[in-house]
Amino acid sequence: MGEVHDGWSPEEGYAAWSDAQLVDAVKASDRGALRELFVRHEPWLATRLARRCADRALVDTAVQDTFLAVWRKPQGWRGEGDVAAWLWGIAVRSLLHQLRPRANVLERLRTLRSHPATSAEEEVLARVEHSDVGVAFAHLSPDLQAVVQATVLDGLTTREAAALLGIPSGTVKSRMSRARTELREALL
Amino acid sequence: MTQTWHADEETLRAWADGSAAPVPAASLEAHLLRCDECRRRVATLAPSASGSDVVRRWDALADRIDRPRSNPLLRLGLATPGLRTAWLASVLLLLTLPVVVSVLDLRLPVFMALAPVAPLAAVALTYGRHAEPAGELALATPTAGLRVVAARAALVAISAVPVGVGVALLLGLPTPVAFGWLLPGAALASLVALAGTTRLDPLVVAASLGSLWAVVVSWPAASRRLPADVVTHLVASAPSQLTALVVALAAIALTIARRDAVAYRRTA
Amino acid sequence: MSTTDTATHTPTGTLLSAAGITKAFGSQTAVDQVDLTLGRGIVGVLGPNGAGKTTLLRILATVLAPDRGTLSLLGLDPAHPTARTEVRRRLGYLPQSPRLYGGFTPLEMVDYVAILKEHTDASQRRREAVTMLEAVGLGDAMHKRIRTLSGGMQQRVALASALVGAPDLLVLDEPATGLDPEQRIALRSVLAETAHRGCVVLSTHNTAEVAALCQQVLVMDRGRICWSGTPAELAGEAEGRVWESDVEEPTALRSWLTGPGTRRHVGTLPDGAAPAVPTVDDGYLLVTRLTR
Repeated sequence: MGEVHDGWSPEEGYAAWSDAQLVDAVKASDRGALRELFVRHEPWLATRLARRCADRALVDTAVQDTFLAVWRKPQGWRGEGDVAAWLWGIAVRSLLHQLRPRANVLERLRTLRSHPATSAEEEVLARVEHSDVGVAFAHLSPDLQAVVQATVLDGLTTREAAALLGIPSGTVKSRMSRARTELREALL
Repeated sequence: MTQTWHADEETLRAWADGSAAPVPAASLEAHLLRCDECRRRVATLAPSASGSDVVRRWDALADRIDRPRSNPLLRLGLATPGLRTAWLASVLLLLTLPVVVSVLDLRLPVFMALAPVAPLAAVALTYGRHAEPAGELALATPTAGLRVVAARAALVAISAVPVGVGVALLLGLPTPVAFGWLLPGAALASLVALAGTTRLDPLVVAASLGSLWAVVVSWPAASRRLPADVVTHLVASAPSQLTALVVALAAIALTIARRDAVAYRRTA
Repeated sequence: MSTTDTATHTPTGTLLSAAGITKAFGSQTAVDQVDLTLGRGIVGVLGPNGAGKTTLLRILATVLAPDRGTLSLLGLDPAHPTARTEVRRRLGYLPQSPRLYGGFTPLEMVDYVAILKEHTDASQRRREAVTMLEAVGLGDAMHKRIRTLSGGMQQRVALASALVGAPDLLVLDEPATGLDPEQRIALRSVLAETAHRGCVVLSTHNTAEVAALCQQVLVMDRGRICWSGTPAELAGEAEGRVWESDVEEPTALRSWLTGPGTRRHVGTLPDGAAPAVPTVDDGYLLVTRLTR
């Protein structure tokens, strides 16, 4: 939190702080708190972004922009939900921003892997995977999976999903409605 | 938030290297948003997330965070409220004065009386005790004294003078009026700068000089002894302007000669 | 380390010398006929409040001109404007109460002081400011407004500002104000680097600080330097002249309570009393009393 700790040694006590406390400290321009947030969240954010964009340099820039945005506008965090979810929201939009002005978006995008069953041994996740919804989702074509992932799981708008996937907005909409139909048929 | 389950290492690794199937991957991603334990483990697994890599990327980020947002000249000249007030006051005065004069169609040489006060006030305020951000510490630096004061006064002049002249011309004030205040203003400002090398308080000197000038210029017209135009033309006339120039140059030369004595007003 | 040690280690020899420095404010003589010769290392000016420490340090920092006497800083005479500017390029100064503008962040402040010290390369200046702030433990707080920081942290911002530009002469007026004992140790390591290369003069009215920070001590009283030597030598002054008892002693120059009923005395040891192990405190009290 904004409170001043007077130790000469720079890294004091941040490890014990919750993410929310760290963001509050960042609101008070605490550079050490930002560093702690960075150390905690940079790896998984980078990894998750790398699953959506194969260009590591773009991912790194997007992650850097994410934390720069956190530093400059920490009041965007309103204290509701998880800090990690808020960070992801910024990160995925930062990536979009990186992708938007470039021509060869498609080349840079790694399409979602569509080799089910190769790693079916993940027991912990088996419940989800083998649930009705999971099975139905796995049966969608990669195109449709990508649209569902971008809109439902990543929480992007139609236009943002279109930018991320490098397809027109109309296509996102039509694929989404096709996915909805297929899921409904599989589940009913 | 309490978690009922944690992803095993295989699952995390498959997700991190991109080989996980879409459904487990999606499930794990949703889980990661609220499980700091699993996030921590991703950090130890991710191929590019070794400690030194994180340090390097943090350094790159820190480099952007620590970049100062304003340039050195502005920091020198406009950093503190005192300096900003001086700058803003003189620019505003020179911006509004011609407007007031032409809108009210004043007969009095108000513009001539007040415009030179702007640079004078600005110079006086740069001597203020609260004007120096680093306080006494600044006195022991090579730039201390006249150089800092001159830089600040110049910054005000650079922005205020074109505004004053420009607006006056734009509103159709006569050219001699629009330009005629510059040298008297410079003379008054230089006298204040000179006062800064003595034990006198520049603010008091500025206030006295400013009032004196305003009264001398506007009184004859106000008391109807002379028409306003005559006073204005008298100020704008070659001999007056030359006198102002001489006073300004002499005061500047004296200030430079006495630059060792330039001091910020301190209570100490 | 003894005084002669410090001198022999110095290739350039004398970094600071003063002869007959005098400064009066009205009828009050703040600094009276001070002679000084200093080489490399950390020198502490110790004295009671009002002894003239601050005035002497302001003279050494070129902020105040002496009424009489000659001064040589880093081999230059600060009475001459060009030489003074040159001295200031290699000088760091921490005033007694720095009064930094609270609207700046520590980073902006140190960067600003670096501008005043004529550092023109923006990115190099910033790197140096960050390094200095990290050296004084303000890496995490460098973007907070100075007015939101504690007194001790503000003191360290001023310290970092004084240190910027790797000065050869560092004049610090009560640098340990607001620092706790651990931070005082950290301060020592920060100053050690400058002391290795140049001369650090600091003032304090705290004998513990002198013992912790300085290689050499000047004791100042009523405008004059009344004693100089190492902290150990200052303690040694009280050797055999300090003792403890539970009554007031007529032979004591000074006595003070150290615990319930116990008094510590400095002065002429009475017959039969066992001498106590002297501290810098004892030596200081003895020295300032003897000169009165």
